[in-house]
Amino acid sequence: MIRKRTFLIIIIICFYAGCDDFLDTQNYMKKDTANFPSTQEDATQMTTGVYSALKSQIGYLRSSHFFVAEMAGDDRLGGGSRSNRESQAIDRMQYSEESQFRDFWRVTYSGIFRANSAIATINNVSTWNVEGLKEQYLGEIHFLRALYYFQLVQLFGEVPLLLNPEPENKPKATAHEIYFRIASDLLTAIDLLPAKHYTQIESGRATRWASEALLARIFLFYTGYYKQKTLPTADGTEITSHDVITYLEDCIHHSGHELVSDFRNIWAYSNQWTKPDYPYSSANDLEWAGDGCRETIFAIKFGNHARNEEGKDALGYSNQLCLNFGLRYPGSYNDEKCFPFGQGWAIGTINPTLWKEWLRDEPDDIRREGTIMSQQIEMPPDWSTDRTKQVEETGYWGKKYIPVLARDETGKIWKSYSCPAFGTAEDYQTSHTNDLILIRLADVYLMHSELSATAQGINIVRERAGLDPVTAYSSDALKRERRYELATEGLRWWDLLRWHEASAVIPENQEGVIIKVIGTDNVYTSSFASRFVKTGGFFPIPESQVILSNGVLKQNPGWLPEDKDAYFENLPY
Amino acid sequence: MKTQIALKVRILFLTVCLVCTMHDPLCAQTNTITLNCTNTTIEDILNQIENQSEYNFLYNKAIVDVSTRISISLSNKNITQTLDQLFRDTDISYVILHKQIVLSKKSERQSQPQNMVTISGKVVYQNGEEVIGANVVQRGTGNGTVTDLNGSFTITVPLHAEMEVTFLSDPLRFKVIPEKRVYHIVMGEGTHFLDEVLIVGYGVQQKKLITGSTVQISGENIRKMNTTNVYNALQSQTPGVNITQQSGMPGDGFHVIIRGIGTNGNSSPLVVVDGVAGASLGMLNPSDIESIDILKDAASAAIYGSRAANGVILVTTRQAGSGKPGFTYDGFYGVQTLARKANLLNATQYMEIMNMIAVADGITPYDYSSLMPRQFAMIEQGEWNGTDWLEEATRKNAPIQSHAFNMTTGNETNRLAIGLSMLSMEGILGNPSPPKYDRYNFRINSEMVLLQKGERKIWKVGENFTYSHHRRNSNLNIGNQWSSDIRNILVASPLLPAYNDKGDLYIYKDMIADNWQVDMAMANPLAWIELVRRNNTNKGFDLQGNIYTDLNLSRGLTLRSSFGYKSSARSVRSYSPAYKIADKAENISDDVSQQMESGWSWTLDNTANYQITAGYHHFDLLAGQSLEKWGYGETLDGKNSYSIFPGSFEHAWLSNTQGISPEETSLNGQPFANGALSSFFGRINYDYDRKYLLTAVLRIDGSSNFARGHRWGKFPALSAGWIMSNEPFMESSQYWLDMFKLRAGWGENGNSAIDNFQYLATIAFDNDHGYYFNDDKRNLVTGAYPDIIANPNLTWETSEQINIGIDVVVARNRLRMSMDYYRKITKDWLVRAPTLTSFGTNAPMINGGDIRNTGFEMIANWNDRIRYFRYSALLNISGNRNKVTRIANSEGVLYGPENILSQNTGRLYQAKVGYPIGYFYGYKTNGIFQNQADIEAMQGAVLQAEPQPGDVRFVDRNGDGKIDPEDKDMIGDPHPDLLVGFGLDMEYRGFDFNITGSGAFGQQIAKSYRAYANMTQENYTIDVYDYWRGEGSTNSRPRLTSGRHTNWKEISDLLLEDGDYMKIRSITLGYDFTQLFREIPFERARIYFTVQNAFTFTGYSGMDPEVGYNAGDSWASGIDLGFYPSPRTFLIGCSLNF
Repeated sequence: MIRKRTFLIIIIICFYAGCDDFLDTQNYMKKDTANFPSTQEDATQMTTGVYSALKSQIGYLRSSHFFVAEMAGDDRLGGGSRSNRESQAIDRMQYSEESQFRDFWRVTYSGIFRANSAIATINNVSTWNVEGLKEQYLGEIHFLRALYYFQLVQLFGEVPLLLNPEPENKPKATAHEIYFRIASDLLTAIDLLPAKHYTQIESGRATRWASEALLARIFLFYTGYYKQKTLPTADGTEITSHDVITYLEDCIHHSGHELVSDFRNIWAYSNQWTKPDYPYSSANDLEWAGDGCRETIFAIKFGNHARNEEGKDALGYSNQLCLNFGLRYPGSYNDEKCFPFGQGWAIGTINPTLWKEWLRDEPDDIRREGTIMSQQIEMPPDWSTDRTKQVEETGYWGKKYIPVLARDETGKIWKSYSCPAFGTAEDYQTSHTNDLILIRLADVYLMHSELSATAQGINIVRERAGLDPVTAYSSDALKRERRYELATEGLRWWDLLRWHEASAVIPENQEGVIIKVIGTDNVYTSSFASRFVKTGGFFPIPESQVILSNGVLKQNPGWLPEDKDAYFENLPY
Repeated sequence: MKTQIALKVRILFLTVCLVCTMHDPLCAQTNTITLNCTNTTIEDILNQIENQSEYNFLYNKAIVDVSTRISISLSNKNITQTLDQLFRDTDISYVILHKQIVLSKKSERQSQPQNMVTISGKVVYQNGEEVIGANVVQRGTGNGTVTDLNGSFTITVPLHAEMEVTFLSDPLRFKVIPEKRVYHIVMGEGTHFLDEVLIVGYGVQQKKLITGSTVQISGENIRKMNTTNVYNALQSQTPGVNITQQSGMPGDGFHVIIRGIGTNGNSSPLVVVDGVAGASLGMLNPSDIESIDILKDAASAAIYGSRAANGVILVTTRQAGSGKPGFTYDGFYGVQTLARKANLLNATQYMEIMNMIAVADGITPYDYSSLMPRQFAMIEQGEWNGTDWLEEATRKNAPIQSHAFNMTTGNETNRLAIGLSMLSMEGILGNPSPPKYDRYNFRINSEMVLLQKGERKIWKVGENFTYSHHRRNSNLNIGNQWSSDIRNILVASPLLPAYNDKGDLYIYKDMIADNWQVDMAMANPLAWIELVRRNNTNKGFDLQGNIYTDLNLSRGLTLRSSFGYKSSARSVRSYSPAYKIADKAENISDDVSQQMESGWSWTLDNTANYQITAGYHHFDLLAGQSLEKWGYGETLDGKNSYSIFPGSFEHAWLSNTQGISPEETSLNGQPFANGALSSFFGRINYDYDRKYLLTAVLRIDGSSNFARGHRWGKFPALSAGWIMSNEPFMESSQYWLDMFKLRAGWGENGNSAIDNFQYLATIAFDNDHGYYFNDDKRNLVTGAYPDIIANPNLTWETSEQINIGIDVVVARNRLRMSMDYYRKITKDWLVRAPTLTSFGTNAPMINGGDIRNTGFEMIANWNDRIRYFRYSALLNISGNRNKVTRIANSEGVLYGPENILSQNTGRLYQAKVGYPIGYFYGYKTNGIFQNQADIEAMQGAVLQAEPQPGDVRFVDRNGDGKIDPEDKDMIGDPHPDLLVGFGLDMEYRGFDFNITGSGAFGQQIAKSYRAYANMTQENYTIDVYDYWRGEGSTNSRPRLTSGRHTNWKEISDLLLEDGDYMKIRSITLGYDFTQLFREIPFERARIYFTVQNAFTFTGYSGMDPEVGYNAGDSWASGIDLGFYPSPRTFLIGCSLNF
């Protein structure tokens, strides 16, 4: 009897033992690389994942490519409060924390990794319902990988070049290698992306036109900063300025993009929900061309579902530049007092030199007041920034990216026009949904002028601004036009770098500027000039990555531990 | 599906067993006996007699030979006649005691050789009561007798014979010596100690035979502490177990670390309640506990294999005994108070300090008369001196009460225990809406004998279930520097009024009305509590238990199947009205949110246990198999805005909101993370003559958390013991040494507590990684991305431990001591070691670190009685050293986070090879620069950009002539070097007095009650006045500057304090009124007074040195950002037994 029972037990145990199936579990929330991507829908989501790094960069704004360019250039000062040490440090070519650039580095490489994974696996998709969609996605992915590497190589000079999804601890590639690869990727994108009118493509997607414009920007930076004649590609062919001009003309003539008739209508402050209560807008009869407007060639898009969380990926669904460049007013004020501009961190106050020189150079330029909000002109006389916190106060604020309020018929003031317009949840930190424009047609015209040394592009841009044409092309005219047309659009710094003017122009335009620090008059000072000499205008690789690479990654010059001046301690006043 | 079929097969099999055994006739019991046996063993005949009568036989097979076959025939004889005839031709003698018949071997008086002596004696308990039916045997022979009704015995034995007295199963030994003929044998208190049985996992073992390191705490010892949580009661009683409250907020849990942190992952021990692994101990009421056994060393814990690396806590809920029904009631009512307050600045002090700092920083001093005209005038006139936020937030005499009813009843075949209890308490901090916690528990344990043959209970079934319903209202946040309500209370400026003139909470509109502009972003922390936290209830419903069946197939062989089930449900509802408490502390639209989750898991254990004795060899064999599945369940939560009943929490339900909008509505639901464990295990317990002990264990576990091929782990263990006091050469010491045992063990345990699917390159789809195309702001396109670098080779984390110990019992069982030394090496941590972020996705989980814990434990327990005065004392001491020995990245470092103490501060803690895990990391300081010469003497090795006298002298640790991050190193260790626990118990004629305490020594605490580096307006504690005021004034604190100055901004030892403490956990005085009024119908009617957390002796300046906050990393500890302190509680209670 006992034996029989024991036997039975043994049988039961053996039954279980053979059963590894018991331990197999199903993941109902995620897929894995064994079954992904297999459908067109998978490919769409995978491509979207590559785009998503763009908005994550904006979530971790203060080390992002655009923000750094704004801070490092001469258009803006650090500003903010004493807590906003990142912006003040970048302004001085210093860093406030070893970790300062960590997030941008990580997020951008996550975009590259996703692009690499997508390129490696997109052929696993077995069914495509839409003709040409695979080529389009591949083209977009190559564009994005080029854009991400371009951001990295502009910001850090040299970075590891990873082109497939396998993790590898690589040393920095030379800038040349990286630019060659970027050029190749863009040529691939131009090749793969359809020559469709921009309105036939969802706004926000990379297009053939965007790829051509980006190639021109890269060509100009590479040939300028590195003093080269041509831009070779990874397979050995060389892109000449003539090639680039051809691409730009393709973009100008075939994309369908046009300049918006009034320069000011590019920017969100001209929107219809704000207009009735904003004298500047109603007086000039402004009419916002809207997000994805005909002039925008490539922009980072935002939407309603931004959340302010510790992980800032979801924060990047809103335009954080607006919040960061927003006004910081005393707690006793309310939005009524500074309408239509909303509150924020008051970072990146506008350098008064820009205002003054603009007034001197182009007294009739509508773009000046369309770009810069002068407190004296637009704010009530008793308005001031929060003088218990504000540092590097100049009285000038950027208008292109700033919180724009709106009043509805009940008199309620919304924290962003986007709330009544698009039903965005109201929150002064996360309600801003206007595009962050990375490339627009005016830039394409100016690049064309610069490459072809003709005045046509400059004059098209000037005409729109209501200014007389220049008689002939000159590099001074070109530089001045870029400075004013594209002010506060994250481009000035790179222009100064490629023209090799940063070390002279920036200190000249910034040092000695009159500012207020916590309500007290002061003079802007920094050691930018000496820092620029040490760093060549490049920022540090995150120190933690240098350490983790076990000596494979080398820190950039000027940012080594012995460079005591690299570390931003406190404002000098 | 296969499993379910298997389960059915199993149940079917049990049913078959039932049928097989049912045909045995059960004879009615009569007083006369009829036997008709030929060539039958005496044993079988005895069984027949048992079946026919109400008598039971007690005998020891080693002494009494019952295997002899005889023939006997008799009818309707009484028991004496029957036995006389039965034993006539054998050497068996018998004694009838009540219904028990004790058999022994006939003594051979006839042929008494010359060296034989006849001795006599008496066996008594410590309390003087006689022991009836104890076996008195000459060791190794069949020569023995049984004590009579008076506990007396007489026996003839050889001179110098070794004698053994056994009652039930605990032997006591003495030696016959020439000059002594009468022996007085005192057994342990009610066989209390020597027969103590410990739960060892899938079985029990006599404490005496244990070869590992375990500690048992009885339910009685837990209950008498009158705590609300079981862990709380264990705090002073468990050497080697570091139990720290997560926070003092009612209903909050505990961190439990056994023998040091062994992993950077989950370091909590495995909790097994009534055989159900992974159960919750925190939800049980202390009154539900029968006993708790903690398996600390690898050899003991190995039977739980893959989950035992952090030790195992085995909980048995209160079991029924047989006997008449018993009822107990235990209840108390009390009040809780704040034991230690932080001394914060008042308004005048605050203004003085703020302006001194402003001057030092070169900022214009604040003109408070214009920043808060009204309040400034009141301060000037002495009408007001600011808000004492801590005082305002303190709930005075927060009530606490607990009531527990327990009933047990049963007879030989059926037993039942029922427990019903409730607990209700309020928090001491959190006015105007302090947290309130209520818990209701119900427990039912029963066991039924379905089939019995003689004494042998062949088939038993039973169950243990506990149900707990608990809820907490007004949850405060006890979190990081930004979201902790307690911290908000500590940092709020005293210049901000708490209430306006109407008695309403002072918020933004009042600031505007009063023109209060000191810092309009400063939010009234009480308003925060009242508007947001109050509107929150959190309910939990937990059921856990098992159903089991035992088959005792023959003497010694037991089969047991147990099916365990665990179910839990949570429901959280909260409402946040629209408000504007301060500038930027604003909620524009209200929020209604509901969250629910429910799930369950099951376990099936099948074990076979076989005990055999062959001469001096005793074997206890166990073989078993176990299956477990968890993660059945799901979550659902929703959030919406625009309540139809704005401002009303009672009406805040999702259905009472105004429609769905993509911007305000969020809905989430997902399944629980599922997993499974399949295991086989075996154990051999062997002893030779209760002298040499050996235990061998092997467990084989398969876990779903790893890829096929990496799932199965083997966890062996071996331990041995030597009870030296049973050796002949120890005879001379037997008068003072009752027991001396050496133990040693080695074993391997595992840890697989990680998220599932880490071995796959998973593709995540979540709302954080999508994108917006087109200009439709409403339509977020989902993105997909590979979210980890896969590691298909991921497998167990293993902990290997050796343990050496001794157990000593001296002074006639009065003093019992144990000492242990251990070394625990955890290998192949499951860790997400940082990798290059250029890899583009999350680092893989790898088996990437080793850690070593070495330590000792000592426990001593003295128990004695002097006539009516009974007393006992307990002391335990344990020490542990923790050292990380490998981290598998090039740097050998696992980073802790930044910005823990305040924004803009560096990493506070990390794990690094060669250091204790989670050690504090920063600059070391060496006093204060007293003058310019001090600064110059450093020759540039200073951290400050422009050092001044009064600044901190940071230490150039690497001596390279400069101070940079290379000089950061260990500045403190959050782990205690030494844990001490003690208790004293006294009882005299119905009075009882009890005191317990525990302490921890050698650890440091990183304390910051304000975000010094970025929040200038936050309040200070009074010690800010200890600043450097000029040469020679102090060498410990720098000159007054804002926290942004390098002096404070850098993490340094200035921010650390020694956290040594000793707490008197409880003092109780009770009296049992049945001593006074013998006629009252209670067995016991005790009234008691208790003070809990009565005194804390510490040099630490914070509110509570027992700091449970760890910044979210289980491997970190000792970070005090201002958190909920444990209350001092005064209780009056009563215990009734009837």
